[in-house]
Amino acid sequence: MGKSRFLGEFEQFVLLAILRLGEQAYGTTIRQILLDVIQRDVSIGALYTTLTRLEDKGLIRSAMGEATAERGGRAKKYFEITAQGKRALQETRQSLDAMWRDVKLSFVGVKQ
Amino acid sequence: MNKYSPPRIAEALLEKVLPADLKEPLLGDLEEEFQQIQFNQSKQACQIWYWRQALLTSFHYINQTQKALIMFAFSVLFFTALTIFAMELSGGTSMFFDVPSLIITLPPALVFTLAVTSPGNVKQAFSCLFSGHVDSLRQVKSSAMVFNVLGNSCLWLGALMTLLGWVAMGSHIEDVAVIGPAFAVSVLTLLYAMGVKLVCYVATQRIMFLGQGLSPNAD
Repeated sequence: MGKSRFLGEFEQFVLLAILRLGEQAYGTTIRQILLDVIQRDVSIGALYTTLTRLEDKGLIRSAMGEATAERGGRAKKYFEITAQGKRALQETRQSLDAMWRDVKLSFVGVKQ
Repeated sequence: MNKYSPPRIAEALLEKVLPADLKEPLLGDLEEEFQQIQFNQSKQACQIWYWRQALLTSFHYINQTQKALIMFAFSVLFFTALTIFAMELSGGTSMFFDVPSLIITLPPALVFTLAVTSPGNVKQAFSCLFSGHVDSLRQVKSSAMVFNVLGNSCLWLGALMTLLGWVAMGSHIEDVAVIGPAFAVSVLTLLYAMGVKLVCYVATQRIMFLGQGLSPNAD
C-alpha cells in the first residue's frame, strides 16, 4: 500500500462526517457533527482547508446548492464521498485494525 | 429570526483573504451558524464567536491568497528596521526625524504623479502591488510608470530642496550656529527622498515581475 493511501486522523473524521450526513453534508453541518460526536470545535477555515485537500485527492466531490435567506443569500457547497474516498477509509481502518490486533491496552500504559 | 448581522469588518476581512471559490459557501456557512447561535447566546458572545472564526480562517488562507502583500510588507518592514538600527548606531533616532523635510518632498511628488498619470492609475498601481495580480501588459506599464514618476519626482524634489538649503546656508556663511542644523535638515530631505525612491524602485520591479509571461495580445 502506498503512503498516499493512508488518511490522517482529521481526514478520517471529515470523511466519516460526510458519510453520516449523506445529502446534507456542507460546512455548517460537518462542523456541527464533529462538535457533537467527538467534541472537536474546529474552525471553519481549518475544515475547508481539509475539504479542499480531500477534493484535490479525489476522495470527495462537491456541488453548489441553493442560496437561502438565513445564509445572507449565499449558496451552500455540498460534499459527497467518492468511491475512491470510501476505499481509502476502508483501507485505513483495516490497517489500523491490523496494527491493533493482539495489542493489549496495558502495553501502551492503560490499566485494564 | 434575524436579530443582528455579523460584524462587517470581520466579514470584509474574510472577503479580502478567502480564495474566490470559497467566499460564497464559507461566508454563507458562517452566517448560518451566526444566526443559529443567536438563540442561546448574547450579542457580544456571538460577535466574539464570529471574530474568532474570521481570524482563525484568515490565518489559514492569508499565506495562500495574500502572499504578495505579506512579502512586500515584510520587505518594507525589514528595510525600516535596518534603517532605524543604523540611525541608533549613529547616535539616536530623534535627529533623523523632521516632518517639514518629508512634507516638501512626498506630497508634491504625489501631486506630480497624479498630474502625469491619473488618480485611477495610481489606485490601480497600488492595488496591483498589494494584490499581486495584474491582468494585462497595459496595466503593468501604467502601474510601473506610476511608481517610476513617484520615485523620480521625489528624488529630484529632494535634490532640489537640498540645493535650496545650501543656498540659504551660503547666505548665512558667517553664522556657524545656523549652518549646522540647516545642513542637517537639507541632507535629511535628500535622505527621505532616496528612501521613497528605493521603495518605489522595488515596487516597480515587483510590478514588472508580475507582468512576466503576459501575452502582448492580452490587453
